[in-house]
Amino acid sequence: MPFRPHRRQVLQGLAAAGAAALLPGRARAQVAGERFLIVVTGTGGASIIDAMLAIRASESANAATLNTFPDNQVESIGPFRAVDQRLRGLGPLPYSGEANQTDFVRRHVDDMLVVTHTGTSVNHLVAQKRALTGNDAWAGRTLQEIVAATYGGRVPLPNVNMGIGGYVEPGIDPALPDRARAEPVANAQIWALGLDGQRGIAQAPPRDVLTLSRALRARLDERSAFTRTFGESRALQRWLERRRQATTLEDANLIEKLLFLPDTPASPLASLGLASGPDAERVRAAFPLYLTDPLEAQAALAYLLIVNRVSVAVTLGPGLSPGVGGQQTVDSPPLAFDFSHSAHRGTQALMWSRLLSVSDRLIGLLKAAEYADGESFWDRSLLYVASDFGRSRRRPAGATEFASGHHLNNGSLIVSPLVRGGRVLGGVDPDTALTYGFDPRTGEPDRGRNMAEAEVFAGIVQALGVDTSGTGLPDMRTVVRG
Amino acid sequence: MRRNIWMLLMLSAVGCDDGPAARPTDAALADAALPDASGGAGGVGGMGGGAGGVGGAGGQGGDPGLDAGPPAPRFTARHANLRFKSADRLRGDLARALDLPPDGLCNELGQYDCIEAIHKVALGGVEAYRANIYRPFPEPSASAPLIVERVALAACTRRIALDREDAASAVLWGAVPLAGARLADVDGEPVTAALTALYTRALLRLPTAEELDLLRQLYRDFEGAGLEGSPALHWAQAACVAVLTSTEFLFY
Repeated sequence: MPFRPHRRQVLQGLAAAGAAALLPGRARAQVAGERFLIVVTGTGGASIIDAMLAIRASESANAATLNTFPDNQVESIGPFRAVDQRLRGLGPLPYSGEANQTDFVRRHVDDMLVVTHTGTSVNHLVAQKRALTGNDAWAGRTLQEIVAATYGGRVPLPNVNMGIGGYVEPGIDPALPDRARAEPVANAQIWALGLDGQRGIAQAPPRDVLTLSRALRARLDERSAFTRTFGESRALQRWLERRRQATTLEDANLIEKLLFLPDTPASPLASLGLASGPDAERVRAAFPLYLTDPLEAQAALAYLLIVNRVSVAVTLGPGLSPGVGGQQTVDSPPLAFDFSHSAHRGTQALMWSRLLSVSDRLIGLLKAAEYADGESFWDRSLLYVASDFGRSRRRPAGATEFASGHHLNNGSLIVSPLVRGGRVLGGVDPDTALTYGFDPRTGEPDRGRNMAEAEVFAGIVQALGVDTSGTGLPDMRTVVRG
Repeated sequence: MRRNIWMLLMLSAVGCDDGPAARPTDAALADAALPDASGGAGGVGGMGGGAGGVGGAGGQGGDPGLDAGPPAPRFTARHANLRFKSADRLRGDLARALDLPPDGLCNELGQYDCIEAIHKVALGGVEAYRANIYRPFPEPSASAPLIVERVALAACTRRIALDREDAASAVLWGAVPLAGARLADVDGEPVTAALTALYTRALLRLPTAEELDLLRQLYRDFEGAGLEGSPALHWAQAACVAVLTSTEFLFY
């Protein structure tokens, strides 16, 4: 369905583009305040029944053959479940450690919302993208693109994406402002070095040299037969536009604001004329494994992107590579949650524990950072744990470790002061281990309904204060904190 | 005229080769650049490179002076379907142009290959194994112009250092005395040869007279600006970066 923006959406866009000052007072008052979206990817399939909707064996008529837990492992905290486990291996992989969910749930229960749903694909890449587009619910835009288009007009890189696969794929709406498209980040530790054309390069000349070089290049380009001939190329025009805008990234000194490595022989910042930003020590303390665990480095960068007002949408999540040799032989399985094909229970426990731990620390930092007037950055943020899909429910009778496949049925965790937290929307049938839906207006459980990707998508967009009128998105007011 | 065209075709072909031995000689360049009555070697300079078959080295014959405003287009391509080179092609072309190993072009913090390890996706590359990115982004990222400059600056600086260490096997700057603070003669033959080599290796064509003038003027600007350090060295870095980040180099 073609999307025609409504008046309020136009006003939001104008405000985002820095034109709010041009609007009359009433119109300005209608513009919603800035919001931040943090997408944490459950790469490979984060199963909700291995976390907040875990089932006690005593609750199920089919406990032995379904993915249920011994009663004493499942803790109830508010409406949520949490499972702490001591792991002694991930199937064939050596691993030893505690997998913890209760700490996160206790700390954030009031901001937590679990929304059940049933997806439309069990192909990783397709499902990942649909988790972000609601299966093309709004002209094919991703959640991050919508937030960037709505609130990102005043920030230099509105949408920074550290995800992988379908989680980093762009949306398909050609009408999306170019600035709202994702800036991909493959290596969070040192990506910031790419935000300056000269600093940190060994034996680099002074800045003025590059400035003069750029001026010369502009003249060479302008006068070259190549440009004169192919100047109508959209790709060329976009490049020249980006080149003009890129210097604002340098002017904002993002290279240092977003750099959090210490000055060490392995990262000799000082000798290259660099220093890390003022928040670097804080994020290193919060994410001490930033050198060996890419997820911790991503979380550190996510925090810096938000509090330095560089981005309004950030995406982070585990990649497919195993974590090896950081704390122990194997720190994290290959394929992230998808290692459940080999060892479901251990993989889900460890990966959930990793996501929740990193999210908890990121939220903690954002709570401690003032946005304005006593309001914290977290007060304006929403963290969405996006998952490819759920996992199959069956296991060999009584098996404590087993393999699982992909399953459409699942649920998502949303954490935010912007949602009506402390609730599970929908529920899980303990005899089938399948989730069921709810009434999108009242939130009342409805065993005869499954929620669609578009409904979860709409709820997140609406909780973030984006006007969805005219988009055809369902009214998901039950998600939004009143 | 036919002899000039043949010579430039040869030059375009050798420009695709990696080895220093394949570099055209100054004599060959000078010979090929001789304009004839119909505008010199223009019209064939872009074979295999970015020049797209127009202009080439014909500038000596007809471009207006520096203060005459932008020259009129010779023609505007109806189907201007340009593409950004993207990570792998850019890496290969930079390495070839500067005769450096691809992994020696630029290393962040002295360790991480700038393109391959850090900025590949941002430059329109794919990263199947680590990031599950099988299709390039439709456009280079917002930071791509800075990344390109960064890589070019590091690579140019490396090339200059190597040429200064061993002038006998120098690729670009061997005949230019960059060691001193100032160039003895920016209008002299060594400078012309260096700039011609830069253009030939990077863009697979000869520089126009106007381009040579602009590059020489850059040096005079450096001398006049009173920048810290050696104007000669800075000029070589700046000229190299300007050409290697020009749209003609980056698009095809």
